[in-house]
Amino acid sequence: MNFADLSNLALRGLMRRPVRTFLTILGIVVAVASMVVFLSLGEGFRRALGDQIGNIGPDIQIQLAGSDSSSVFGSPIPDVPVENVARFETLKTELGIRQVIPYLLTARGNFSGSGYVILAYPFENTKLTDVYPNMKLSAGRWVLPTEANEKVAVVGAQAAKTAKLGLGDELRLSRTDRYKVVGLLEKGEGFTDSAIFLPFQSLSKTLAVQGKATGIALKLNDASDARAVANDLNKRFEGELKAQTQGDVVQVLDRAIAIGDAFRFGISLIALIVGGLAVANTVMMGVYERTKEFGVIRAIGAKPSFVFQLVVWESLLMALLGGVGGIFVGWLGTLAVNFAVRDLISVEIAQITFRLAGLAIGVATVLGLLSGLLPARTASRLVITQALGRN
Amino acid sequence: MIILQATDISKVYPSGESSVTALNHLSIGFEAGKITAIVGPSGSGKSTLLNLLAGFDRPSSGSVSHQGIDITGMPETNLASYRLAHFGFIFQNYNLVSILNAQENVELPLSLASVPKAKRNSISSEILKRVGLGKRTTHYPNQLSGGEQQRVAIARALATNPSVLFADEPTGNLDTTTGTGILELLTEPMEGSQNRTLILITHDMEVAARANQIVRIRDGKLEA
Repeated sequence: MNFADLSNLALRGLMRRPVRTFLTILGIVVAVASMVVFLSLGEGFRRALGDQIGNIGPDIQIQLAGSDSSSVFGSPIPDVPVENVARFETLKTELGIRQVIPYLLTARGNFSGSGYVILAYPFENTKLTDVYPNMKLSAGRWVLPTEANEKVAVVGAQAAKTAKLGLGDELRLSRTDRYKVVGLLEKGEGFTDSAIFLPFQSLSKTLAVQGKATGIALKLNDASDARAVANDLNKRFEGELKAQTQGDVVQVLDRAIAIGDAFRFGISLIALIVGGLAVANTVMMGVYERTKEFGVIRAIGAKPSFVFQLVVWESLLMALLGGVGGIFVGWLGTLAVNFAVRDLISVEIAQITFRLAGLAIGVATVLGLLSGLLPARTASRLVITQALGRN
Repeated sequence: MIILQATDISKVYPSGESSVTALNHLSIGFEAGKITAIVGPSGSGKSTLLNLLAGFDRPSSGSVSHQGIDITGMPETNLASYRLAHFGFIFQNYNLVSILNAQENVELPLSLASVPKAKRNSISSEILKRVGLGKRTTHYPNQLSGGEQQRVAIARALATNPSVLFADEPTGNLDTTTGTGILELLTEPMEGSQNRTLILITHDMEVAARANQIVRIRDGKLEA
């Protein structure tokens, strides 16, 4: 029997009990959709990471040795002494360092919708476009080099929305410290959209962390030297400071995402196993109900392997239909997730990639195969005379 | 010429601690192109004999050969192919596949034999016409009467042009008039076909009377 006839027969077999088949496929749809939504979060983070890594700016970031390695931007409390800037300045020529930029980073609010990030740079010798080349103003102006000690701010589009700030408004960071918004940024991608940029010295005073930085960013003459320069710096400042390249940052983030993926896959695995058992149950019931029919097919000349293929194909068809449906429902789920968090962060947190869709179809295929094996074995080993009730 | 030969076959079924002998050292040959009726009381071993002759089951001892080929020791896969190529079956309960319509039921053995679709269609249409169901080809078994279902079953059995046709109580579930029609249909393909052998099991002596040879079985043995 050719593949088309086999498929036709398998489909007819499934349509014999359409409600049961539909409910079983629905179970697979739910299981695969939950897996797709869970794992799409990792894919979204990963893609956002790829998009944003260029915007993080520095080729190398310096933090205190022993600080939390899982934090990309350094310790939550600024702890890197600013006098280290001078040490790197002396290495500029030797190591090909173009710019040494200390920065402060702090977060305000949370995921209630009012969250934003505050980043401070020494504007006396640094332009924001040095760090973020693609950044553009939509209104107002940049912070001037003469305003290093002034309370002025340039605000990202999303941050302006969440903090309800317009040009000329004031951002209140403490009872006495209010920062005047002098520039608004064009809407871009990623976390800079949710950031407010302040002068380093001013924020140091506001936070009472004078002499400390969250980290020190290094721009190199040739970004491709980053790994070698970071290795050199790690040797020179061993036990004191650590240098991380963008690649390291990506690696750390990717590892964190991978751990998250494994965790989420573990959760969705439960749903997948339940879905698989539902398929196995449906197929097995179908086999028991059609014992006589399989006996007839075998009697008129079907080989045991034909019956085996027929049952496995029925199981696979259900799982594959469930897989495709699961990807579609999962895609709807990611739209819902992205819609829900759109006002919180300007990154599409959930994304379905070809890799994820492929994984979903692969998992559904394996599920279908495994679920169909036992019923198929049972069906192919039927004794004809017993199946026909002839002895 | 003997086309199908059973030689000293026995079939013993285990039954708890003991065993039941359904066939006891039975030998019989079937001539090509002839109709043989196997008759006997219930439990005499008629169906067991047909199961062994058709290759549905294997004897506990002895052998069955078709056209000189021993089918008793054939691996299951080869035996299935052999049945498909050489044997046709008609059951008392028709045993049509409920998800397939009349034409698809007739085409089932042909698709198992990988006959191209166009050829399958022409063969099945032709045979269904011959059994009087040319206008019922798209009907499903539950839309057909008992007599019509048995006609479809006969068409299915004839589709592969088998050399031996086995029929187990083919009229057992039908009223007299319908049964007579079915019987005429069953015996009709024999005319002009010197090679097709029909082996049928029946309780009905009127049915048996149409056979060239009547074989009586009692307690798993041939009656003298």
